[in-house]
Amino acid sequence: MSATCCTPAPQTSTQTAPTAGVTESLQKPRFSIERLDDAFVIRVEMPGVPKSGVNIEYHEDVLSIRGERSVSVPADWKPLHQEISTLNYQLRLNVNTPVDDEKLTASLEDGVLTLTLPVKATALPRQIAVN
Amino acid sequence: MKLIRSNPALNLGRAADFGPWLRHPFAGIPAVAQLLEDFFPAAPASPAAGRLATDLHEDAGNFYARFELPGVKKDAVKVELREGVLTVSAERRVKSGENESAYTLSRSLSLPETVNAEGISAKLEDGLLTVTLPKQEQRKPKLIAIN
Repeated sequence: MSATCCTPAPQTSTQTAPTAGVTESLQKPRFSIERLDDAFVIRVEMPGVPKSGVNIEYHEDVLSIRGERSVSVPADWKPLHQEISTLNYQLRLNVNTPVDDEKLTASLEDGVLTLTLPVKATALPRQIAVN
Repeated sequence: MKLIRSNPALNLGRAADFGPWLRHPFAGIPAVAQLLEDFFPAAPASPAAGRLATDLHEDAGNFYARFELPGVKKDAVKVELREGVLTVSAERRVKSGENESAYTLSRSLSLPETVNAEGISAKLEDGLLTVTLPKQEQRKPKLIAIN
């Protein structure tokens, strides 16, 4: 039984927004995937993103997670040293195991988004009795 | 049964003191974080290892130091100011099933000017820690009369 759940889908580093002529740069957040007996737990680190800035979509076996930062630096702040990115986050994962996306639950705490994605019952290991 | 794995190798600690690098106000070394990753390779399968991005801003009255601390609870953060060096250390716990691993992240920043220690405040929101450090009033130069 394959232990892998998701492979990263092709990430686009720039993406055209709905408004014509506007492109947005995005960055890929750090994430981890854990396999439980009957579900996958995906943790995505998106510091600076409030609950209202998270967008999760599941369409045709691709799980898309988008995080919009709320933190913007006030205009009168002068930067002395900058490492924290100002880009929004986007993560797209190909899901190669049948999952029950309707039962997907997500929670956001301290900048870490935790998604629990149950595996479809038909894809779980099945014991076959020998007559 | 819980298995708690402490990973001291990931404690960046003293070696990651960027004080000398940041002492110059215009140091702005973007590759500093990459330098750190080269010296302290991240442990496998640990999402936050080695990463503690920080930035420093100022306006007329304050310095603002921000640190990215995803997954860290308020009570697991320690903010310390000593001799012009601001040190933030945080403990991150990750539960996975029956196992729990904990590791410490630490980062130091050297502040360009003297800071009024009394007025320091810190706020942790959505995994981002913002420390506000009010600048000390500039002392007027002392005029010495010549007899």
